Amino acid sequence: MLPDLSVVSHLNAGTVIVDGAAVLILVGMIIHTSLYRSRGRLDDKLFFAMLITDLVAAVCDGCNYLLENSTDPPAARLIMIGDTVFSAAFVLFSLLFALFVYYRAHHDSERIRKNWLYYALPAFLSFAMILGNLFAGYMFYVDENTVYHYGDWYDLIFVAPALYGVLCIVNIWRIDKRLVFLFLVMIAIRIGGGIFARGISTTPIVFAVWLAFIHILTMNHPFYGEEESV
Amino acid sequence: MILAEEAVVSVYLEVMALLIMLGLILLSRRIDLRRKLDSRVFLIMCLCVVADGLCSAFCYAMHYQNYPWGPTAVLIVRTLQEAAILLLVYHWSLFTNHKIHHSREHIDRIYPYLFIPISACMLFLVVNLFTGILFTISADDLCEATPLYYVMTAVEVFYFLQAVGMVLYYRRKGARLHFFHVTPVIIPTVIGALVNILTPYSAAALGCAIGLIFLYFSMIADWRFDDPETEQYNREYLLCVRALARDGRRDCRNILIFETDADPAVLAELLTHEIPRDGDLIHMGGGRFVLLLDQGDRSALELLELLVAEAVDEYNEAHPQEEISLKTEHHIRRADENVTAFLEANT
Repeated sequence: MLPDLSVVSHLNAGTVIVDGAAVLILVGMIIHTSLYRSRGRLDDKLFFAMLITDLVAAVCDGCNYLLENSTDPPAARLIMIGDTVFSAAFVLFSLLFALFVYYRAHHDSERIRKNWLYYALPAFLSFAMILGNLFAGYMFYVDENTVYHYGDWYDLIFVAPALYGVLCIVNIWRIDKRLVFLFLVMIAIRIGGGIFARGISTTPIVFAVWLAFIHILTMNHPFYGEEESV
Repeated sequence: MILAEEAVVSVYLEVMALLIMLGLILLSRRIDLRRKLDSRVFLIMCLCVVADGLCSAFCYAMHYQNYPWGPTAVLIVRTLQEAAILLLVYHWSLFTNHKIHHSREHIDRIYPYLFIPISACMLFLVVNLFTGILFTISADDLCEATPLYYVMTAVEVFYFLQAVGMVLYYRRKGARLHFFHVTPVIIPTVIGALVNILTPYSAAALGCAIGLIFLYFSMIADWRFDDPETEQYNREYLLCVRALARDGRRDCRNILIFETDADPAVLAELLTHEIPRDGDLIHMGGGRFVLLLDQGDRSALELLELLVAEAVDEYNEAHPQEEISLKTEHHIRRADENVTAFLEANT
């Protein structure tokens, strides 16, 4: 099923471009970090998982916005599935990021391995609610004209990520103070985008740019732990 | 101020570009300062993209606003934007030249010539402010280009492609450009330009910003493996080669080891004139160098050792006060020998 480009609005087209940019950044980073990944450290695995999660989110998001307003009958169902995957990826990314910054700040993989289930509890609750939304539509739904609508409980999606975000700030401060500034700028852009350009989805690209910044910061470190890897 | 939807999209794309540039400028302050020219040119490129993004966002925000001062303001800002793009491609050309030749003298020699077409375009931009020979601004604050504007665009494209072509040409000739990848810079930049041309949205600055992210990745990799004393690879590069070999992404058939008690920078210069272009010369520290070769048999290695010995003799004859000693040995990998084991045993 091909999307009908004639019904794609400007804001939806903008989202597709932004998601395409996120995919470009993420694919480039996946290729670029392949050597470091072979070290197999916990933060390398978490970073790779974040790249893949954001890539899935960007692809689903882009497809959803392309399919919106489409007259094809399966489009509504595809958007619902796509948005469910996108929302789950959004929550999962936040969890992975919280674990990643914890590891980078404390370098204590044992504690993470022991306690990751407790960390993941808010994310698991979110996953259950997102899955339940597929049948009840209380967070978001797609009507018979294939138009996406926010449900009454839409903001529940943000609870777990916001919780992880708050927990992260202390650890980000420990890694590098400049990152806190960039973190706040990105949250401001994400929220500002939501207010001033509500039709444009900003999450995947904000995450992708954020990952690029973390990668730059890590690579700027004089040795980046090569001596441990080879 | 109410913006049309396409203007909202364009402004948002510019904001994303500016966010990327903010992060790059902020985080790049810790970069290695040994290659100051690289860092400075990169920073100028970042600032050009920031100027391009800001100007473009302003111009899109002014579309259909119909303020009395609108067309004049858009004309001035659009002129600044074009100047920023010209400076961006000019510095991209300087950057690639420096990456290829690793020589400040080379840059000092060529940059005035490279600047001639750019300065001519700048002059046209100034003239355009009063005559509209390149572009004019309509009452709706939209830019209307003249045929001469496309000539200026062709100049920008020429600079961009010339730099890319040079990198590809010199890489084929064996220049030390292992970590300077232009493809990840080209792809987002070209896609951004195409989106600009084919759609009503402005994505050129975002494309350039993504290209600069990848360029920065390349720069860091390059710096990490650079030995400032000899201008060759450092010991970390060997660790990287070992990791690549372990992943099956790197071969190595021969290893040559050179040792001297004299200044390693002198020996490095002599070696660079004799060794094959595809060989990786690594300064291990002190007076010890390792040369990794993917090709060549025993006779080729012995010939190479002879050539290096002759070069050292010639140097010693010319500089009797600064004679350098040289000890060499070579190792050839057996057909059944594992590359990683070979590297670890002999380096």
